[in-house]
Amino acid sequence: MKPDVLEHNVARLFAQSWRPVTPSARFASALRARLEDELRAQATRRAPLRRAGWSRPARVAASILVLLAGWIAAWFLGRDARPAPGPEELVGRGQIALLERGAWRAAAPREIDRGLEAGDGAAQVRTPAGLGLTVHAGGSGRVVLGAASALSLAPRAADGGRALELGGHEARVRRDDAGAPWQVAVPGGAIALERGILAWRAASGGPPGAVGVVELESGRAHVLDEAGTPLTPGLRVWLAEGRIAAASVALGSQPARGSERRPAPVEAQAGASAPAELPAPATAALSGSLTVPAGATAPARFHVSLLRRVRLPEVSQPERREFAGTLSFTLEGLRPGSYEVLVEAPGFAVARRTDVEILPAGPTSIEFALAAERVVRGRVVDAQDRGPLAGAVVLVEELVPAQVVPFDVDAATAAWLSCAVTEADGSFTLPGLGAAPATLRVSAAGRAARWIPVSATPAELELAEIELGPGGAVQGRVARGDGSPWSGALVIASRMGAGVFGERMSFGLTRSDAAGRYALTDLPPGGYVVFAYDPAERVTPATRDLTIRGTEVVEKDLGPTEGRTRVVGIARGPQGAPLADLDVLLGSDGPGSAYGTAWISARTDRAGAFAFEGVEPRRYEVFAGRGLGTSYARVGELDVPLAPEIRHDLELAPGAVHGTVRAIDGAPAAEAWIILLRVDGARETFAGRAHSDLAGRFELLGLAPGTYVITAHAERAGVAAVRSAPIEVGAGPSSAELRFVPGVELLVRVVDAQGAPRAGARVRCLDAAGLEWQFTASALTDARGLLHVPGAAPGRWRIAVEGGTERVLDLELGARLEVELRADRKEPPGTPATTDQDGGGR
Amino acid sequence: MSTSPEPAARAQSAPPGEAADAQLAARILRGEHAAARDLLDAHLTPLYQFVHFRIGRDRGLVEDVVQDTFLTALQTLGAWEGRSDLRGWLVGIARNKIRAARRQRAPRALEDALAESDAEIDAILADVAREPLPDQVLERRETSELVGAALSALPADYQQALLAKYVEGHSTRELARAGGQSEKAAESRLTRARVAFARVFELLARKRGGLA
Repeated sequence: MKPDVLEHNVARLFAQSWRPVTPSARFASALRARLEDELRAQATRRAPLRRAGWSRPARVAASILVLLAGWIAAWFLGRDARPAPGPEELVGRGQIALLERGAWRAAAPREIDRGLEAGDGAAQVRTPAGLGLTVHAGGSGRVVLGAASALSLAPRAADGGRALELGGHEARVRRDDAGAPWQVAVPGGAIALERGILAWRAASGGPPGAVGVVELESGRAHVLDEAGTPLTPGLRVWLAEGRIAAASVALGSQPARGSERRPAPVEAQAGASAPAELPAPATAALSGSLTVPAGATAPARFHVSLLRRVRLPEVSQPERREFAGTLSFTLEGLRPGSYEVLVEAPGFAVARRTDVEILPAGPTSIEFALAAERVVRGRVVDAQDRGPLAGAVVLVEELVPAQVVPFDVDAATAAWLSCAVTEADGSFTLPGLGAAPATLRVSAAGRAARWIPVSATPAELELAEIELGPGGAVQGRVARGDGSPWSGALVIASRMGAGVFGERMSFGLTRSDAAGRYALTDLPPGGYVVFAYDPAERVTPATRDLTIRGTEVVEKDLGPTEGRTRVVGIARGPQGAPLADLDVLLGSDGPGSAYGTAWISARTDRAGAFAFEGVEPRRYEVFAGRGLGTSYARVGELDVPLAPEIRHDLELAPGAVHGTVRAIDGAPAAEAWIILLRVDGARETFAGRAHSDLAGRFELLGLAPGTYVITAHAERAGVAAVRSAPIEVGAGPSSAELRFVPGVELLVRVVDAQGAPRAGARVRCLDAAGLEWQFTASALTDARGLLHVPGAAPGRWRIAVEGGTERVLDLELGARLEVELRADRKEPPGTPATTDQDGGGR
Repeated sequence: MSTSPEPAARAQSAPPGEAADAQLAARILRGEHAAARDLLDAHLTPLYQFVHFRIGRDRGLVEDVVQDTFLTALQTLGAWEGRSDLRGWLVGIARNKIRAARRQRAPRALEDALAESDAEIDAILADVAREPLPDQVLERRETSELVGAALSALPADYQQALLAKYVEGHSTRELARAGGQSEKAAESRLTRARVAFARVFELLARKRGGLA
């Protein structure tokens, strides 16, 4: 044990890792009351015997006799010595009253925190002033009951319908499943809620006979009057005598996209006539401070942004606050969880911390040491006429406070520090970079975005001209589950990247028209996940995978069409337990490619069930994993026939590969791509993919017994991809260790007979042993006819373009090599290539 | 029938720390309501921390276990004979409650269990006494949990010494003055606290990382 090292580590552990955990004041208070009750009860039992001065054994015997007598008496008399409190008494004490098995009781602290689970059964709740309760209706939805309110919930009917009665001040009903409408009775009328979120609030100032307002925040509902008047989302209506008596538009009432609107904090308003706010979920706080380098002037103002770590397809909604005239900050009312925190202070590099745990048991503290910023300058031009592009947006992907960044981001509105807009001459100055390498994303209207890596040094960097050219597009038709056109659907094409899995996700967004048609343009080449989304409905990430090559236009329909099959099933683990939140992917065979040419995915629910709508009848490989594509392994195959519906259950095999990948210097290599290949004789087929974590660790689960090989890709220039020895996977975990080696960076340029760039050409790289390597997610050239190979190990390589020429190169460590190949036209597979033997490349 | 003296009598011949425990126990057995408050003031937070770092982030379950522990303690306090201090006795009850709670939990999915076991990080943490810890490891949630778990397993005076020194920032001289000790004695206690912390920390890291 080294004393100095130990003391140093202990000091740092307590300074940086220690997070105090304390019980909440509410729990402490409730526990104290409970213990006092227990002491009181114990004293009551002991007192008569103690006063008589009996010895302990006699007291024990007497206690038993007394208790027996008490029970017998209670049984004869048919009642407890003390009557159960009624709801008014409980509410009067400030407690939430619940009706259970015919008797009222107070809600337990745990129920107040986590909600009451009514499931398909009945529930009656009354809340006091200052306290609300969430009542969960199994998977069908929930009711968020406000303070001083009442709910009567009937059992679920066989057709999925349900009757609810609301009273008091405020409630919010959310219906998630399909089935007969929920009949929601409120003072003044009743609503049939088919799906979505319905809010009720007592209010004064309405027309005669109306005592409150109803608002359909999202979904579909109608008033249960003679005409069955439909409700419009965003419209507040007063109900009287069962009809709409008045209506008004609710400004700002639309819920945030992708999330239910968070209820406002509750305020104790004993005896107040104004309706109270909805109860708040558990919240947390973050406080922090900034320090500046010696001699530097403190920033007059700064922004703190929080990105809560969430799982796809949910995306993080950033929280950004400005602070001025101080070097400290506090943010309250946060949802507990793991966060990324960024600090933007003009004149300094954007400071960033990941994995900040913000817990509800007390404010989390954090410190930022601001560092001097780096500045990058450059110019953006049009790729075709080389004219300057004004208004292009240049941002640093790692430093913008947003998880998802649209291609057409409005830089002025975003006002991010590490984001610049080009001037009339196409020039830009981008501040706020730190010392670490970064990735710039450059985008402009009518052109496809590009990603430009920026090295770690120097302090001021002048980039070469950045050319932007036209991009590709995806278009098609969006249909609902019944096949009808889905107008107004949000269609999102999320880019999965053709290189490093970016810090942020870029996406294009549009809405389908009245006929359900959509089109997304100016998409840079690469892989995409496309899906349709309706904020009013529960998101089901049924996605489509596609690749944009060059400027091509891809047709992709979303939703069921004729001649398709519904595929359902349950995914289970090796022990037979259902697997929730598992992404099941179907990939169709791609000729000679490590990745399927078409992917669709669905996520399992809590029961492990998944469903694919409108699957084209053909043969698929089945993969399963988590993170919507960041980690998955092949678990089988499936031949989908043409049928209304088929069932295909999955049982993940117990085999697994756990491994570590290290950098050239032996340190853990984070965020490396791991490709799993299954070996069948001389043939290697794609079997899965993973992403290494901060410790360089990765895992691939659910593998069938067999022989596998793993390749690891750092996707950094000068770092060669590496390959493991064959791994025998059996009924348990196997391990793999890989370490990167220095490599040679290659830039392959493919041109046609006229010398013009050839986009979408497939490039093959084979090593001296004849093994084919794919170094990036796509083996196709981009719009400029280029394919970038970050690193190939030194040695002899054969680089070929399908249907075109090839070169044999002896690679040696050094500067980047540029190789030009020719492909005149698209030839069928198997067309022999012409070979140029070249000992050193160009 | 037990022949051990009543708790109040035991207090007359016990060292000061134990005397406080014995007096509190006597007050509880006499049925003093204020004793419940004093019991919680002295023992709720450390017991809560102990349970939290062994059960995980299920706050409801942590509260249930803590409540059951205190209720069981009140109900069986007559059997406490002072061989351990009250805190140790409460921790012993809590351990049994935690074991029972774990047995009742549904088995986790294989992926969840594997995802929580970061053998590489734990291997680094298991060398806390020998190698400087990398910054990115210090920022990990697993490390934070391990610090809490190790700290909550230490005797109260070691916990207080470490927190006073490294969280509250008191100097050794201030610790000595507050504890009525010489500076050398305070430094010696702090050293013992660090060593004890390191041993527990390493043990937990090895156990969690599957290295033990």
